Amino acid sequence: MELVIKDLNKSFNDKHVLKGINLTINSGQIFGYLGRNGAGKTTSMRILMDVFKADSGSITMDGKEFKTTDYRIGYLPEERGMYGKFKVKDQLVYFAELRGASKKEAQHSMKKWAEEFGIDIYLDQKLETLSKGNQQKVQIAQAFICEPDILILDEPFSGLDPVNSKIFQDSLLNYISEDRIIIFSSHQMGYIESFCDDIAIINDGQIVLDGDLNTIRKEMGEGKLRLRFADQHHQDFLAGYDYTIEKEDVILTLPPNETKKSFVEGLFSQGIELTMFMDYLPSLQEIFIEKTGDKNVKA
Amino acid sequence: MLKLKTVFNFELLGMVQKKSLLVTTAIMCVIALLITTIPTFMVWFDGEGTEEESGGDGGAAEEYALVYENDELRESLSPMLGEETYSSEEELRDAVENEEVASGFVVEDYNRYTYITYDSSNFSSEQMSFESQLKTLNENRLFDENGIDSQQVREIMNQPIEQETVYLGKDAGSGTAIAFGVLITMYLLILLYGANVATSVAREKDSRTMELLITSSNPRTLILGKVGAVGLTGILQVAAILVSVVIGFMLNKGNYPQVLLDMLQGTMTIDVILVYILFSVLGYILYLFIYAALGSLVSKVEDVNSAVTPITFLFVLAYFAATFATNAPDNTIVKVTSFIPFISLFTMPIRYMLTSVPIASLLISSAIMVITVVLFAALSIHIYKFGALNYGNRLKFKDVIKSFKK
Repeated sequence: MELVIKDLNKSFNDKHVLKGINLTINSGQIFGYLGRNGAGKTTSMRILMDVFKADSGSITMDGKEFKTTDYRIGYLPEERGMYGKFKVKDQLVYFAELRGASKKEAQHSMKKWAEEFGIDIYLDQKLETLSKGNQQKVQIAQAFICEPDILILDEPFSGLDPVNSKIFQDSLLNYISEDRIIIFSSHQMGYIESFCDDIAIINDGQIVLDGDLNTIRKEMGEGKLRLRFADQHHQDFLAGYDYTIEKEDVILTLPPNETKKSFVEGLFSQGIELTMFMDYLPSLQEIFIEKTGDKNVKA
Repeated sequence: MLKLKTVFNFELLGMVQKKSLLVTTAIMCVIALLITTIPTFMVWFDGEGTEEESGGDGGAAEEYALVYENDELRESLSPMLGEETYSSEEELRDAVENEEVASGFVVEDYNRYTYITYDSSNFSSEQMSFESQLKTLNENRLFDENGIDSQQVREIMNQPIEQETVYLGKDAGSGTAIAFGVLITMYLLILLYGANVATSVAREKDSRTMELLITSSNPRTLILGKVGAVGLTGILQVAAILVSVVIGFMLNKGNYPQVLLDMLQGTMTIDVILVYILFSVLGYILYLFIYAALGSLVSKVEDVNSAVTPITFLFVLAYFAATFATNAPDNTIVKVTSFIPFISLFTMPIRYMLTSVPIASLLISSAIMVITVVLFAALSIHIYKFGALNYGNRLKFKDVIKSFKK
């Protein structure tokens, strides 16, 4: 499946929130959707879920107009919340039914996912009597219930302890399939790096970067080297280059007239020893900061 | 449509699971049964009362504790009023103080007496009947003294006037009790369940459940399902209490005074009941929609009260108009308000029951009501949709109006 979003525009009152969003999201992998708070992530997701209409632009699935009624969409919103006064099983079935499942199907799927996330013993309890972590798991189970074709997860890891994070990661990886689209949004770059093949970064209503993460890292690291020196006798040599220091490593930008070979030969001719020499691949955090100017993202 | 049923069932489940609702309904049903049993209780207590009286002095109601001031009075009056029971006023006073008798009379002259009783609250029909007897005796004595045949005079004075009242329209007096009962029921129903539906919507926003709801269903389904479920719960509650009232009434029917029976049964015809149901249910739904929409304008449950104040204010005004209508159903103001949907839910049925309303007026008012309900349902859906995803400050009305322009 291929979900294509073309030139999506949306304004609220006089505020232009989405300024011509273009995205291609492929099934069979996890798509990382990044952006600072207020960049337009939730708005674009809501348009996808038909909560409101875009002012202009189109969304197509495999070339045909995308209709929410043709697909099941599982959604885990960033702002978590379900009914405190209802039994866990009742509301899980309810949300599944709202998504278009039959009662029987909803019941069956509810049991399956409750077991998967270890909340099956709480099914007969009211949600408000559960611990925060367990409520979180009920929320996640809610997104998976009835096996949605499109799964949208907004900050799914917030509030999960490492053990539960692992359970969730395994479920998520198992869930990937050729007929499913998974959109994953987070500020925790580590998770995106380890899960996602394709990413897109949205900033101020515009996609500033999108594509395969590895390709992006290679492109953005082009002409840069990561070096680690054996001792401190390299300062004079480096003076002629543009570089930054990252802990023990030196990230150095090669001038256009120099190749890796000539650079290493220069180093050796001066008797400087290296313990590490490699192409520099920027981390997603660095890419994100560079593209959005956000200095406060979590590693 | 399927989703509407899902939302409706879920909301209904939520309402029915509320223990507070079940307990209140049970308590109100018991109270209803008790109230309808009051006439039976009254008969019981009346029964006990008469037993006490007859068990006491054995005197019939007509026999008084009497003292005649002089022999002349004793001779001429005792055949009619009864024998002297105490020889002096002091003896009578002692007897009353010792509670041997409740009260007694000292006849001082043909036209003067002293009534001796323990508590002023003890005033009874006894004194009135004694006085009228004494008065008649005195008048007869004076007629005889002046040579007039008292018998003849009595006949002339007691000529009855025959009369008959024909109600061409409706008898207003007998329906007011019911009108008032329905009025209070509807007032409580709308205030309670209006607040209920507004809080329910606000809670969904407060707990952010709205995020999930609005993404997996549409606002129209959500609000229709909610209003439907909450509305039905209210109607079921009223129905439960009504059934208790009917059961209580049927069980105790024999002990109801005829006046009350006439008041209850006289005006309750099928068409009156239908008009009541039509206007009450439509008006109820109308208010619920507005309450639901207002509930969606706030982000926190504690802000609900301030958000629903305008509509509650309007509703209380409607209630006062209606209480006025029960007293003066023919007033012009009542006639006018019976065409205004927010008030006509009260005033039209009252008018219909207590006065004669042309069928055309009834139809026009119903039509206005139906159209208003549909319009306000649409409006509420719009406000709900607009409000549902807006967090932060309470939305002002001008924001809502702005949203229409888009």
